[in-house]
Amino acid sequence: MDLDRATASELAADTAKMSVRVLCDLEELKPYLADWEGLAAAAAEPNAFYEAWMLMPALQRFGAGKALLLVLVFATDPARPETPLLCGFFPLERQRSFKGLPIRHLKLWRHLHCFLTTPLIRAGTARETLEALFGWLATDARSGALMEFTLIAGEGPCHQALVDHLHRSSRPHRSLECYTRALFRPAADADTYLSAALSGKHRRKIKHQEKQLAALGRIEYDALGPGDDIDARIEEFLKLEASSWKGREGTALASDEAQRSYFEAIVREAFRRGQLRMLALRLDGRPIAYKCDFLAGDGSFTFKIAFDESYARYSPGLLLELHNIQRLHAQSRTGWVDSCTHAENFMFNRLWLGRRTIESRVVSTGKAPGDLVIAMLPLLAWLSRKLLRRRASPEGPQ
Amino acid sequence: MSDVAKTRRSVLGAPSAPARGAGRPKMSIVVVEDPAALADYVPAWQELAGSAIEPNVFYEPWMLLPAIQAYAGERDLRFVFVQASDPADPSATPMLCGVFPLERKRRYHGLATALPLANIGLWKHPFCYLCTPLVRAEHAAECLAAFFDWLAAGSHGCSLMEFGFIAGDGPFWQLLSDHCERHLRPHHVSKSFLRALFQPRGDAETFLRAALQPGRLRELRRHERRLADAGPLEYSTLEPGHDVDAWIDEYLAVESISWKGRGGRALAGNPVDQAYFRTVAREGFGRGQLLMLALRSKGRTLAHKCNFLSGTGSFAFKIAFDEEFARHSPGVLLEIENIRWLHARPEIRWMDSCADAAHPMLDRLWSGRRTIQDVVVGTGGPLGDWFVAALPLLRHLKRKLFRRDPPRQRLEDSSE
Repeated sequence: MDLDRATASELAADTAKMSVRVLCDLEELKPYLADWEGLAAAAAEPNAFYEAWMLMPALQRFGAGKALLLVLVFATDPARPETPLLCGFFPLERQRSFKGLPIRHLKLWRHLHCFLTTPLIRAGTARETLEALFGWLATDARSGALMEFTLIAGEGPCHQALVDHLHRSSRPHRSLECYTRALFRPAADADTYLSAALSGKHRRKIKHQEKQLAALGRIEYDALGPGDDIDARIEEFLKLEASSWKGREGTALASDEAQRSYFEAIVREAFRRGQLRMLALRLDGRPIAYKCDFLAGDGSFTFKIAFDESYARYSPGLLLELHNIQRLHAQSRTGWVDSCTHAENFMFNRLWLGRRTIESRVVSTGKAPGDLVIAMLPLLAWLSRKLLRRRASPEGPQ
Repeated sequence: MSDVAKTRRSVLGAPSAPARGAGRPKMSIVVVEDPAALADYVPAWQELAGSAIEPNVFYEPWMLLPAIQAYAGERDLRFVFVQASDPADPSATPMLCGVFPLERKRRYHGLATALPLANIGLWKHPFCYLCTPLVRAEHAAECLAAFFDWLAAGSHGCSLMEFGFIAGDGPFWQLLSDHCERHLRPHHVSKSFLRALFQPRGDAETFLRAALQPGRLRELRRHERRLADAGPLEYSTLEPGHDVDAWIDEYLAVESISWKGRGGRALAGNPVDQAYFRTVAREGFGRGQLLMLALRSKGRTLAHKCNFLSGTGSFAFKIAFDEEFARHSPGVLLEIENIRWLHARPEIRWMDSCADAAHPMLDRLWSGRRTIQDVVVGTGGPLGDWFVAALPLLRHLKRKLFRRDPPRQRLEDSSE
């Protein structure tokens, strides 16, 4: 990693020339799959949702009918012009309106199951890559007045590179939303972690729930291993999720063919690549809680969780998360886990001590009326809040 | 949002009792306007500095109290202390949870013309390079909420509050942005930039190999040899038992012959600055929070560096080198010694350069960055909220208006 960073910075700082290629069609993307994989492995910041194996199936299923522009930024070393190095990948969606105003703009594409849109940028080349992106945004006929970084990490190397670019270019920009969500980072050991997160009384209560559950049958925490039958696990997970309130509301993965097949495709592929973590809590062999995480770089992302509601009073979801915390401490490779959850998620906010900042930021591309819109945004937001005051709760989101 | 989010309605079986502990603490505010009265708070304040969500050596009492003496002058300063008391035991001494050193100004300078809009902001004196307030990790959210309640009560008579020069990527900013988001407080990040941050990597050699190209490393070794030709080079560190005053004198002497001295910007050129530096360096030494490094040869000081330590962090305060040796980069050689020193102390996880954005030397040597930003919020009244919301548009219009007359504007810019 260190070496990669050093070579990349030498390459970019001295002689490399950045260029932008824009693709409109998935077929055109196929020749670049290997470059994309290489970029993900050398990215300044991991984002599983934007890796090829997770994004290609999503583009195929959820991208149809969307006006997508796939922007690839390459660095070309003049000494080796035939092998350009992919340094940035930005899947963008063209939009005709912004906050109800008829303003054409671009945003990082976010499908239903994408919980982070931090772009993949090669470590050590962030400054040049962003300069190339903004250079393209300012001149290409297909870009609009604004570029929206939809749901990016609000700290870390990519965000820093963006802050630096905005500072140096004095390009108008505005944060549309900025909040934190639960993040797991291991402590010295699981006991230290749990005693910091939960009161002794609460831990005793959870122990008691586990005991009561064990009185009903044999309980077992089970982690998916390399030789296991992945298709059976996928089936189990989908069934469990469909039996919950999500199934009743029609929002379970199994309720929709495209979503179901997306889940199957990415879970299988993650398993094959060793980027999947799947845990289950079983009662007499039957799963009563399930979770599915994807690994990327030194971190991982909580993708889906499900549990059997008929056992709700034993908190099976919480028991499984406690087990997960113990497992994560036993493995040395996990640097962090992003909960991918809502700012106000009760369980993760209590159980996980860290937070990660998530931000949506809109930047003017330099085209009219981008600068003016950015300047007016806070005032418009203030006015609309004043006019719709009754709808805004002083306690914030519930 | 992820469907994890949708499980908020108590599914997952998580019990819905309040998070931890029996009762919520009751927060109260004390505003101190007379600096002499601050002495009473020093022990609790110092203890808070060690339990804060983010260390900030510049706001520790031993660094801030001398600054008040030196730089408060006619400024309208006030110190807001946020305390927590246990509702079950109201007679117990309240626990200090936050210190906000504030300066009140009659005019707002965020636009080119100073507007007659009273505002209050974190106090930044000339030698304060970070204004992140000290907030206790335990009760941090309650502490900030109490501070905002105090802002809204309006006893300060200001419509704006400026959190200037705070860290833009640590727990305090997370707390502030969460608070503003949750309570729909209009806020505006009026400036945001990066400065160099040191974070160790494995060991010093790994760090240096990643930071410097092989050619540059060889060149620096050559410089070191050239310097050593004149006489043996000596890197030394101020240790307990050393004569701190001699080290302070040595620093001041090197600085006064550097470019800062020629520009009239050396500490020794100003008695107030010099006295402030002497006081905080001595005090920092006594507390084990001062780190001084020197590069010497044959009794001459080639480069000198002064850092302050605080918890798991540290802050680069001053650096100077003798320009006669400039072509052999004694300042960079001493920075490399600093990198070695820091790698030998794993308990120090970072050093803030306290430098400007795009520092020519440290940006190359240190690959880490930290975000520094100014955030302005309304104190709670309609005028302040309106102004914060309108500020970007006012700035935009001002720029547009000035652009009509570019030659004059350019002249004004260059004269500054």
